[in-house]
Amino acid sequence: MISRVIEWCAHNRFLVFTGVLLLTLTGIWSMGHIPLDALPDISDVEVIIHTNWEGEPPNIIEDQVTYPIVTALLAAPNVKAVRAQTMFNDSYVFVIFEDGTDIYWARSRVVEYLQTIAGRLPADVHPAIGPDATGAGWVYEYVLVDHTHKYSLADLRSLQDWHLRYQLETVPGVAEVASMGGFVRQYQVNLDPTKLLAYAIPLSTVIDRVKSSTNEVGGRVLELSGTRYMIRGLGYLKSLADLENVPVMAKNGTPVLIKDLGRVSFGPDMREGVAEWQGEGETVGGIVVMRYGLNALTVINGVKKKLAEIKGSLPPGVDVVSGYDRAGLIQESIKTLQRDLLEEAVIVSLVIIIFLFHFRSALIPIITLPIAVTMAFIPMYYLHVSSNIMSLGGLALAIGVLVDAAIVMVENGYRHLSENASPNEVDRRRILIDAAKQVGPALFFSLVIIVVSFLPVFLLEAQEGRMFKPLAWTKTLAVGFSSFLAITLVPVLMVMFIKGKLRPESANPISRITQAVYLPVLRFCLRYRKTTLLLNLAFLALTFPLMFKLGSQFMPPLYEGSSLYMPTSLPGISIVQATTLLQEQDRIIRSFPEVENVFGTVGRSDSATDNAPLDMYDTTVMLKPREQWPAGMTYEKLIREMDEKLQFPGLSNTWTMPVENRLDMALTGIKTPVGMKVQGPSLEGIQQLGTQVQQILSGLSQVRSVFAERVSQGFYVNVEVNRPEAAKYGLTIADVQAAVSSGMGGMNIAENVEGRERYPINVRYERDFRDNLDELQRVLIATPSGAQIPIEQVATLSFSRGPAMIRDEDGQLTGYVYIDLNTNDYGGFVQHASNLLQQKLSLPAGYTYQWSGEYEFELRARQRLKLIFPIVFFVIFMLLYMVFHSVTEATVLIFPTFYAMTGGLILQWLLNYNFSVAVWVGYIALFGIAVETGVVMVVYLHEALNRRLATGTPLKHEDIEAAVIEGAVQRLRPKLMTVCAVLASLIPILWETGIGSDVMKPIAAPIVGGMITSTIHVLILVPVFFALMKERALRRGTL
Amino acid sequence: MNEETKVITYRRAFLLTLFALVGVVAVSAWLWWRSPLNLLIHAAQQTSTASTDGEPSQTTPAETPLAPIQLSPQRMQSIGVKIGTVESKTLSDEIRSYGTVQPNERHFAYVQTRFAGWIRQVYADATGDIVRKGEPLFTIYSPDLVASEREYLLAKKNAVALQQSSVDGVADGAASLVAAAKARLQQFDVSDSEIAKLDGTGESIADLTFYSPASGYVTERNALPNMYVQPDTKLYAIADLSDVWVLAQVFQNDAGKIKPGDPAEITLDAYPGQVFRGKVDYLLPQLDTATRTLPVRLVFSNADVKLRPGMYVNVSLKLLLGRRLVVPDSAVFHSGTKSLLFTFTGEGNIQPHEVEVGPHVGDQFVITKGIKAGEQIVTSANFLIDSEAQLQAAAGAFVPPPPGAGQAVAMNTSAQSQANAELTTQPSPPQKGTNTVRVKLTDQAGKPVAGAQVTVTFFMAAMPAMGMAAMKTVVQTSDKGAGIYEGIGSLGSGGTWQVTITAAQNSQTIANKQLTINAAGGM
Repeated sequence: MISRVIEWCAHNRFLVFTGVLLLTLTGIWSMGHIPLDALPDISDVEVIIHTNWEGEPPNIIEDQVTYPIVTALLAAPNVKAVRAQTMFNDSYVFVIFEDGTDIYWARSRVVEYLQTIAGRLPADVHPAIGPDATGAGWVYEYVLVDHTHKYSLADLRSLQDWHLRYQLETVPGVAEVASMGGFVRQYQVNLDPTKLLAYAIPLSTVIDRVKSSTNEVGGRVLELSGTRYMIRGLGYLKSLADLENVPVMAKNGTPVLIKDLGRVSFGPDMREGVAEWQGEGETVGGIVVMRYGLNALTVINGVKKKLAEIKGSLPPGVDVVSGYDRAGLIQESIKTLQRDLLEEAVIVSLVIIIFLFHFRSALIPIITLPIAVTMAFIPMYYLHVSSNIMSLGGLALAIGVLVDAAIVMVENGYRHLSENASPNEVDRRRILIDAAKQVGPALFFSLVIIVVSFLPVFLLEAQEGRMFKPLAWTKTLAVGFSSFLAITLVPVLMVMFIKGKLRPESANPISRITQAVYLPVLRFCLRYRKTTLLLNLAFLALTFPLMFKLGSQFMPPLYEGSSLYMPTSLPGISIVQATTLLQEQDRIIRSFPEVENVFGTVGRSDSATDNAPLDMYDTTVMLKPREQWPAGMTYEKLIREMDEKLQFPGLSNTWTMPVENRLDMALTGIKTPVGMKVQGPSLEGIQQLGTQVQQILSGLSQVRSVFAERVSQGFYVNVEVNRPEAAKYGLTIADVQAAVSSGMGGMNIAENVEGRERYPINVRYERDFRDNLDELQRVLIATPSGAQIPIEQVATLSFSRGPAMIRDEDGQLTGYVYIDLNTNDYGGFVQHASNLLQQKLSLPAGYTYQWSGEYEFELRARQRLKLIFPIVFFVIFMLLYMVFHSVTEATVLIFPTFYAMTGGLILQWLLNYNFSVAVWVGYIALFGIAVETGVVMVVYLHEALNRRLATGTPLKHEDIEAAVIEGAVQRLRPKLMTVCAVLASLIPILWETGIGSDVMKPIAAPIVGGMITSTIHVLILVPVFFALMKERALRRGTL
Repeated sequence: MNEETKVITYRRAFLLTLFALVGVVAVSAWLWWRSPLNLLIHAAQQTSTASTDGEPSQTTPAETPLAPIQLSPQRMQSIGVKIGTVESKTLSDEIRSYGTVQPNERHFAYVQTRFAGWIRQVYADATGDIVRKGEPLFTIYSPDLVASEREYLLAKKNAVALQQSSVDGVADGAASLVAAAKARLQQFDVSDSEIAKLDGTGESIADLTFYSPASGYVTERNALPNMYVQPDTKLYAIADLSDVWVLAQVFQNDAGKIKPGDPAEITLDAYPGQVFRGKVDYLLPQLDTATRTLPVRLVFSNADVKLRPGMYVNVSLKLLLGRRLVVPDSAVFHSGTKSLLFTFTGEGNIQPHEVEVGPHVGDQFVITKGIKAGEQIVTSANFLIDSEAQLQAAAGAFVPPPPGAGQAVAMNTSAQSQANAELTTQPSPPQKGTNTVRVKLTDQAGKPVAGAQVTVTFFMAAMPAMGMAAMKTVVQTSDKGAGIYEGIGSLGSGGTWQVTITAAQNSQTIANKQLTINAAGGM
């Protein structure tokens, strides 16, 4: 059938050209429209439920809000996991759905389930689902820089909150713009409790009066002399004086105003986050969160365009400066890959030209290569596979293979033609078409082997699946298209281009040299078969143990051109203390010449995707391009130096990179690649267990830092009501608690509308009357009799420790242990560490610990690979059997894969790459190519033997050996060409140092290493095995 | 070698190779298959076994024990450590309340007549006027008074007439009549000067002048010209404001702390920035049931009459505490269950101390226990210092036993004292480099304990300023008999090491001892 296709195509040149042209044009169009990205989006389908309950400590929110939500959602359909985090003021529940769930479907399920528990939550608590985005969608961050130093942080925050934010949210793809740092302006009524006492006014009265002093209403219409007037009652506060003059009560005709009871001022609302720029001081920042599953580059470009548009409308002297920009990473990595692809194409072309020594013939594979690549973009576009490191990497891996078919065909045609002295045009055409038909089916089949043997990669699931499927797609598609072109376009081009003076192969200097080297070696090996086999076996036995010496990790980290410094302090740090530290850190980081800018934040922004407590710093360090670094500086060295300089007492440092971190946080909730989740019935127990783990692991040399979350180490002031005492005054618990929440805490009781802006009004005691425990004890409670008594008469106040933040995973209390490693061998570390823990850690009943972080994926991927590898081998075996109809030959041809693997292992070991999913994918790709080269060799050997069999004379032992030598040596050129094409094409990747190369190198390394050993194997061992098999067959008379 | 054997050899070689290869691959594949332990499952299994032997965890939040820390000057500066001193000071605490100014009741006077009459002329004719003692207030015409005056004058005339009378008793009677008439006038509150005037003129005074009985302000005035007054008519109230009372409302909890004579301060919104000083005069015997407060009477001198009755004042009652140890309030770290101070002993050495904290006075805390005057203490960034202490402790040897773990509980309680461990080193003191570590393990009776596993752990916390990571050396000792355990360990540096000796027997911890030793040799 394939022969018929070749035949038909060769005779319908115009149709073939037209078809190819159309497909190429479509391909070019698709290429221009495919979205760009750095790495495939591997985040889970996640819905965030954010509940704000102002002023409440974590344990109260956990009990009354988080736990009911978590337990309700556990049963929701397609839910994979429910994680929750409860902090002061806020509760976050992350509902993670099964892969492939539609996010909007998932969101409606969440809303549905929230509906069912709405009645069980406290009255003034309203959970809301977060934006359709995750932390991984933080694509752009900016800061407001005031060069004039005229504007206060509150002014800048207002600018961000009411101007920039809404403008930027109009950009398509932006899920939300979160504000970070600065002060939210607030009307503050600071009451003097002694005055309240003197006037005998309870706090609740003041609150009520303030609450009802800002509003506007409408009063329908008034029709007057044919005109309709709309009636409105004006009443928003216009100034602080309006608030000061709110009457609270009238005594003997004299009104008591707010200003008689205290002070009214503008002030900052309570802060949960601070932003800092370059160590220069506090500022206000904004985080652009991209909608789930959209294209980052488009969104960023849209945001930048919008920012340029609104630049003019900013107050003079105020600038919006980029603090983090993922566009750089995307563009750089795509640029790297594009450069690699180009270099590969050039190198492969050179290889072909050198080997064929005939420029016009060489043009054939050189022309088909870009066409096949371009065509691969068509299905990519329709499959929504973005152009990213992985998908372009797939193409990069395929390039060597893409030219295979064309090379072999062209070589065959060339040889046939050059052997035939000066044929006429009709003969030339016939010879070429026959040559193409001769190798066509086998070639097509060998490409099918490469494709099919790589298909099991599609079996990867979850994160690794999402990561590698684009690669598998592009590689498969490109190879598929090249097989298609090999039987359609190539024959046509052969007829067109292979003409003129053709030198026979023997005249090709490269062929002569290689044959001159190869022939004696092969002769020698065929003579000393036993030694050859034993040597090879020894080689195999020696190299395989390398496999257990290499470390393992999920994915090689991608250098992102920026770094994320995330130190953690113990919970309970005050915002003032945190801010001072933040500025100091930024100043130190800024002093490094490699640093472009530093955007430091501590605590959280107002986004539901940001769940950082106040003790977690999150400082983005944008680095200058590597060319501008001082000589000899590497990323690892830089981080080490920074880490040394940033040793602050009481802080544990963590260094990651922004995308990696956001993904890790979104996927596992743990910010380091390796972490541990400790679960148990009590927070204290979890904390102690965590501390022990920290102690045990901190001694290990691979550990840069280990930090167990102090989950039960928050600082509390307990107000414990003495019930009998309270009863004496007729007070209920709620009365006392009202004093706690309003007098001590202060509440935002109303919102004043000022044009487009809205600011809260807060009523609380003057600072002097609530800034220490002694004063707090004097907070007044209004008794039913009208008397006001200090709270200490009915309650005791004391300091204590309690939960600082509560994590809840699937309804179980959880504490995290973050482990920052200075090695990439996560797998090895975890094994070592868990052995150590099993010896040293005794788990009390009910407590469990499990490893988490990226390591989780590595483990899962490994489990999956255990399934995939046998499938790969089985598939290869079945394909081989189908080619040769012989179990023995199929078995023999499986061995190139093992030899290929040894080479891969050696190179991997030399380059010090750990095993990772990337490496394993490289091996899978390698096996296909290795088997393919083996198949080509056996096909040629068979061909040579068959020619001898065809003579009809009974064969002798020597004949077989001669046939083997003929088959192996005479057809050395096409084999070397394909191998060299594969090898040479991947070498640019190994040399590459640009952004994005770190991910590709580990995939390419096994292939390069493996091709070298498998070539040796194919060239020497396959002929030896072949000779052995055929001689055996000869003896048995089954030849 | 003939053809046949050659072929067989090859065939054998081929098969051998094939089998060998299959073997190698199979072994590798099996190893690979098995190698990554499924740790998730492992943890779960471990739990299920642990749950059988462990008792339910009844944990109390055990705080990480206090460990001294050392910080380099740079690190101290980086977090802004400030050093202060524990001071001994005379102190007073204060109770804040409110009160109202009242006239001093002791200097308060009403003006009333003891007879009915008509007011003629009024001198002090406005509320708020200042009057001095003896100044005329008003004149009054009273028929009764005039009658009495006449009686007096008459009596006087008679007395003069009858003075010469030798009749026994007449003169005396006349004199007594005069005296009686005078007494009557005096009872009518006619002043001596008016009587003198009567004496002088011999005429009855129709309009009697009334003089102010006190200096002060007319706070009430009802005297109007031509008004008919009766003895029950309140004509003037005169208040002496040279000193005033303030009735401060004090909560019952505070009542016990106040005693008469204590200093008191008041401020008024009327005179911002001005503080009036006075003292506690009296604690009223009864609580105001409406406001549940105890009125406390304070006295303030009021020479320039700034304090006016009825004024609302902010009261601050000073409670004298005497001489006390105080520290800036920022120096005290409330860790939840205890209060800590961090003492600074120079060269970056910071040592946490548990203290008892008394009242908060101004911006200082009184320390009642746990510290001495003159000690240097850290007054800022102590949250970070506490964190660092905890982190270093967590990284080091001093960590509490696991929660509720059976063995650990045993270790912590009775088992702790099952055996006694003595550490000696060769050389002594140990030096940087290799050392022989010897532990002598004896039971309570002093007899050597054999057959135990003794581990000695040396730990030195990280000193990043000196570029030193945390160091840990674990020495596994071997039983040398007679309760002597010996091992060899290498110390990476000289300096102070925290040493933990753990001895276990039959997987039961029988001794756990912690100590610090100084090793010789450079860093």
